[in-house]
Amino acid sequence: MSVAAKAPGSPRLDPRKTGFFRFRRLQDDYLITNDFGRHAILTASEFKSFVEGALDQASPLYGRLSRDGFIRDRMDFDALTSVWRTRNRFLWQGPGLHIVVVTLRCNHRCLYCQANSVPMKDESSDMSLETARKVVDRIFESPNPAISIEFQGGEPLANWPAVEFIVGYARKKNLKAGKSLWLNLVTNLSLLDDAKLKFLLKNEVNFCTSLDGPADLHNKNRLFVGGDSHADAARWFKKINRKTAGKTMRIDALLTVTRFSLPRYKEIVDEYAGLGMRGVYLRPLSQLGLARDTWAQIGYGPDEFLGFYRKALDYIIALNKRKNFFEQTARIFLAKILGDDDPNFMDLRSPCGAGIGQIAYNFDGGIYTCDEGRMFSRMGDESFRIGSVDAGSYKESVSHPVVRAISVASCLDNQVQCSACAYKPYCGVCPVKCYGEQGDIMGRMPSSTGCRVQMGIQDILFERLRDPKVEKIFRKWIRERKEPVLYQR
Amino acid sequence: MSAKESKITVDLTVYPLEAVQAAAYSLTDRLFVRIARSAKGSVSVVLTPKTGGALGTLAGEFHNELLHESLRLQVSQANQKIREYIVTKALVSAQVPSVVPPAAAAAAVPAVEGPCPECETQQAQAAPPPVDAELEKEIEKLLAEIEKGGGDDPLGVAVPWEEKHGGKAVKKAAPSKAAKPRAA
Repeated sequence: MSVAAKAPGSPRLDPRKTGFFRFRRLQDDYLITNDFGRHAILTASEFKSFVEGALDQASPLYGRLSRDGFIRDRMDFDALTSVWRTRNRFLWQGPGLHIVVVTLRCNHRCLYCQANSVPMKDESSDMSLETARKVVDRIFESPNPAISIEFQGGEPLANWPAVEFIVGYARKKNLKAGKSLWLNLVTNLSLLDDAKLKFLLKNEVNFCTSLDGPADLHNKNRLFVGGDSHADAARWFKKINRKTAGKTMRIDALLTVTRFSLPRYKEIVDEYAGLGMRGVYLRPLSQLGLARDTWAQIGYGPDEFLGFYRKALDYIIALNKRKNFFEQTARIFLAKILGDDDPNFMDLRSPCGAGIGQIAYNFDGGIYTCDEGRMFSRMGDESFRIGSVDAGSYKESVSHPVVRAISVASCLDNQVQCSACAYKPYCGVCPVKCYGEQGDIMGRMPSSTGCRVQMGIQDILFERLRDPKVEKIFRKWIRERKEPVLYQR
Repeated sequence: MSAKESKITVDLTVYPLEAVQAAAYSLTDRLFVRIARSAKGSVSVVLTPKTGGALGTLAGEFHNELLHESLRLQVSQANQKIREYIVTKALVSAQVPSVVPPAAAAAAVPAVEGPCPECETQQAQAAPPPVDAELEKEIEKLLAEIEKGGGDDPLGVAVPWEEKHGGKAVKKAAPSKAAKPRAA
């Protein structure tokens, strides 16, 4: 088959009147967005008039597009500069999230474990108190006035002495530093007891646990020999939820979606709502760690996940007629789509947070760009190591060539397809996941699973936003977003 | 020409080569693409589906993408200086707060529905769009500000806390809202 492409049929741009915009077809209409994160959905004829600079200047649409920086000869530079700065303020904050892997030991054998945990009796992966002290000292070198220390593992409670020491030492150090300090424990809760809980609550530590849905689904994903993972998680969740009511700290839960979850979206949402949670976070599975080996059993394609997401989101929207309940991925995107704030979600910013927004500290003091980078180390690949707390300086780690390379790769202006994508103001790319999936930190978006999922979710959100009743619900979700740390993931 | 391939000749006086390349790239999940010099002032694009699929539909998608990418290039080129100016000004203002007047920050309101009085004001006061040469000078001025203070780390991300604040406590900042932990 051979044809010739000759005659352009697109509208003729008026460069004096039409400001910068990106666009995407939404069925018969056009979504336009710009560098200030503002958006509009135009009919085909409105789009043509907009591009050609022929919109009626007395129309409400022209007023809206002028205010939002789409009309070149109606731009308020100072106001728009401020908007741009607010939306990108993470650029000059420095690393705020510090992930500390206090041990690789774990009493669970989850089918999707990304940390490649080790058996409980293997204490060689426990962080020593000497290393823990150096880690905290290094964390406090970050210029960011708001610091979040997140305990990860393995199961962090398996190395309680390190957790206890870091909590105490960080609180003590902060008396002098005066930063806004948030401590977050990511735990399966099975090793918690009342004495530990008392200490953690006294020191205002937030909790985040895993809950994969109803008991049979949760326990199928999260194998706990000699115990009932779901029962432990649910029991402690309720207790901590009660004890933290009305306080600054809180407990949240995270869902990991496996193939087994796909047909059970209603039961999952009901489980979360039934436990008194404010929302659920529908996250696709990453093919890292053990999930690489079990992918045939638990994995799925991007379209399968999007089918699950669409049905679950609609179920949640319907649930909002009776109670307030949000979906967290939607809330992150909507905060940027409907407002000027950026929730600083590390994977959905440009450049991503690796090394400049977050840092991961391994049990042996090794420093990595992010938790995913540290996971590659567990798979024998040290590509994302940027130093050690035993040598070098904060400055050397943050300025490390690997950090620079990842910043360049995740800056969407450098990505061929992302730079022109209508979703650029709301989206992000994870070079470490690209490296895992495609062997290249730059990634190739047309065939990237992450790109397909993120664009698919944003397509669904913009579709739903066209219903004023749903928009009202979405606006409520982002108004309720003022809260500390943990549910921002 | 195989029946499994589609060859499209693109007139480069109508479509820029960058648009041809971008349109081809966007379909690389489904197509193998070969771009070659054709007759003077044109290129040939050979599309081969990776796993079957209707060749005519894929060729049609390529044509649509070609139009879209051409428009994107025009929009991008026409607004390049204005975008550089705003981003440069925003970055410099992180170091030199006076670059963005406080009043402007107050005026920066989140997107809301419907027309607002502010828009009317802006329309009434709007100046003609600046020409690129003026913006170029402004950008140079702003970049000189960065040169003065920042060097390799203009935003101060790599400057340790003690060095920046001399160990003094600062006013409490908003909580860090961050990341995405994996499962516990």
